[in-house]
Amino acid sequence: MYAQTNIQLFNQLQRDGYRAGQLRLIADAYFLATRLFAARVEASGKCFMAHVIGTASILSASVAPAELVAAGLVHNVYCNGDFGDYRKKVTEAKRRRIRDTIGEGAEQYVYRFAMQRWNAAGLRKTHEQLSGMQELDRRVVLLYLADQLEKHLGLEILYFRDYEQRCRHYREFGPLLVDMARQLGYSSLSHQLQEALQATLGSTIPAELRSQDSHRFSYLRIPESCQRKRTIPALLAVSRGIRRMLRKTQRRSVGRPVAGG
Amino acid sequence: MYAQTNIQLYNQLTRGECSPGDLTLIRRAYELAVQLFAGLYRPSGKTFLDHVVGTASIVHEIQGKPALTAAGLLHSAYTHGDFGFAGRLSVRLRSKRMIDAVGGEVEAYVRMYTEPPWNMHSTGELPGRIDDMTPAEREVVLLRVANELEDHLNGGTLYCYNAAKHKGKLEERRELLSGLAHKLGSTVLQREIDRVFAECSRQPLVPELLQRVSRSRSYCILPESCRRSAWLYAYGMMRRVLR
Repeated sequence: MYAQTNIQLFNQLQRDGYRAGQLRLIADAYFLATRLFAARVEASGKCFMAHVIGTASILSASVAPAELVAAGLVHNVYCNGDFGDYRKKVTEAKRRRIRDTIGEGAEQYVYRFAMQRWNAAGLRKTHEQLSGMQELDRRVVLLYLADQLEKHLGLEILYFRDYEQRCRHYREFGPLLVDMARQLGYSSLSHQLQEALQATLGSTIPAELRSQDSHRFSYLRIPESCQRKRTIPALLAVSRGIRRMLRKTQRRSVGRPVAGG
Repeated sequence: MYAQTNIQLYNQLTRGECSPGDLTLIRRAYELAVQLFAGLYRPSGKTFLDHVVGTASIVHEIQGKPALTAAGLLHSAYTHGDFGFAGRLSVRLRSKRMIDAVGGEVEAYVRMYTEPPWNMHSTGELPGRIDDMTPAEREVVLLRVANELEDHLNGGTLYCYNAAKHKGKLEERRELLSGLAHKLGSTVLQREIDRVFAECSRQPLVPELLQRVSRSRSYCILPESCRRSAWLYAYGMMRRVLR
């Protein structure tokens, strides 16, 4: 059973034999995550913090170095963390903030995790290149596999509103994930991934418990007595407007017949 | 092992015998809890949502009554829930919102949980009064005990800033809660209290894992792209001036 709360994770870390300095690093990463993922919820309704804790717990059980466990707690911070910014980009200021808390080594994992493409083409490419990868990149793949296993704990995928689409994805790419874990030398993780995928794809849950939320991905549940800072909605509206305008211009240029064609 | 996330709680419910209506009620209670407790943490750094899920899971294991499980998910809605500016002004609005979402029975449990005789300061007097209570009141006491038990699961209170103080009071707390469980006639709960507190007292304090900031109560972390509503600031200032 993997941890889903900081309490369970902290107990596990002690059992797994991490030393005092390493525990402090992981605790700091946790408290940073509480700030950056405050009020964030998965589309399945699960608290986002539980997901990152679960990921770190899987890494700790895989005897990963403390820096990687700390990175597990903030692994998707550049995509989902709230830095008080309206952009989802990785910026130097954001990187500095993460580095200041969890150190340069752990931040490297988080940065590479954000830079790597995990879509269909990216997964196939990673799978092909895995044997020739350097240690740092192999650990980033391990981080991704822990993230994926966590999403299958307790059949969570089935609680998403778009579970059918997700199941289709895992039916296609599940074996790839299992093989990547095996190639990395984590046979237990590979086995668990296989079991979790089989359980997800072969089970059903009562429809009444499935999330009724319209969100497809994790989202920010703004506390009711709060509002977005005024500049952020304005900037978001401007950026949306510009993107819409660019799309229109693109469509017009695509529709126009090519001269001399 | 008690549930700590909605997924674990839902799996626990499907293992039992809950009707579709019961499952819907509990899912709606959880969805309301997500809205009310957004950004809220326990003094140990644990998310508040995990705490209410844990409480509901304990109550479900001990009692199995869906309305009480739903009340477990919302037990501290009136003390810690964020109902927005309008909700802060009007008690009626808060209870209307609860009734609309989860119905009158669950709301009544939550209201009773919040009202005076059940608060922390008077738990010492409770064992002597249990025999005179109505069944609903006894269920609310069960909720109170489940809340305390959840706080101590896996040694939770030992990760607070003032962990040493908590450790010193463990035996006193265990005696009180165990006495309450005995009075409620629940030997399963009594055994669970003894087990959890024994685990807690064996656990060492690890200074490296404690909160660095002194927090004795639940606290809220606002998302960095958000700020408190201007109306709330004005309301707070007005109250201060009037005081």
